Amino acid sequence: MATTLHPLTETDRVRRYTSPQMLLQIEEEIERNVAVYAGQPDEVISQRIEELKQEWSINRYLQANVAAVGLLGALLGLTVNRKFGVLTALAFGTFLLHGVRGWDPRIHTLRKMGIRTRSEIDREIYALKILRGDFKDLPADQGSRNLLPIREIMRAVNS
Amino acid sequence: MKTNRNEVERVRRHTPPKTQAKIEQRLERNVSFHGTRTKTDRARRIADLEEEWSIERHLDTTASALGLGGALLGLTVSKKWLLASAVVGGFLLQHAITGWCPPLTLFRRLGVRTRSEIDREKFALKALRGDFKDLALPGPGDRVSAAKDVTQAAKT
Repeated sequence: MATTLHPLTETDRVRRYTSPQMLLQIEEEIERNVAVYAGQPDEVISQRIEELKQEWSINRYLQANVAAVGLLGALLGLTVNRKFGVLTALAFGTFLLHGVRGWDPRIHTLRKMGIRTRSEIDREIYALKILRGDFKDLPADQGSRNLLPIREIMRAVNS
Repeated sequence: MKTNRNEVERVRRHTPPKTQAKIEQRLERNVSFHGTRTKTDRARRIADLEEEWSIERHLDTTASALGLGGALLGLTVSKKWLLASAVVGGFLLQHAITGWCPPLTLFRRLGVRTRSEIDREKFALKALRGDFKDLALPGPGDRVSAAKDVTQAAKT
């Protein structure tokens, strides 16, 4: 498990720039959440899945933050003093870096607040779906295209 | 401005039905195509999916480039360029809150997917690979004991 928590091996760009301790904390949180809901009836698990679908991911927080600062800077630059444009340039400049490379100065603070990426949230969703038995009754993989249980699997991931 | 609380659905809800149907069809086709390939190919596909640029990343990068360009021109050439940054910032804010913004339809037509759509293909492939097959799933009474294994199966 320790090897998978090395940030540089992460395929997710936000996880790549999250400290190892914090990655571990997030993993433990997912595991704890799943364990708590595992003991609950299916209806409660389904409710939790809906909640997780509504959880704001770190990307959405960043987007809202950058957009608000960028807009404010531009408006102040137009009305008060042109120099406020620096604020806009900084907001969009760092976000461009985040878009391309993944690093962003705001990640650390948001991660400290326990904000997760969509993939991390989705992982908790699928762990709960497995526990609910969504993937239980799938026909065995026969290794041949005609026999693949595509319909059943698509139904399981789509529900 | 109606806030769309469901993050998984908010972009999909603003996608034209025909485009949405195409994205769903492609997802299913990908699963049946990659599902029949060898274990190594499937593992590579899963890694590719994790690195696939989501629609959020495309929108973020485009908006940032335009917003930064507007701000730099506004600071050096003419103050009026800041108007461009303001428009970009306004639409990006709208997207963060409601899930809609003007370039959304274009990106969706090009087949750019949401992170959850990508994750759906990933987990379908994992299920086909049998990642969830050998998990001992007790009844609702004693599922807690399986929680650790299940979380691990969803991860790798």
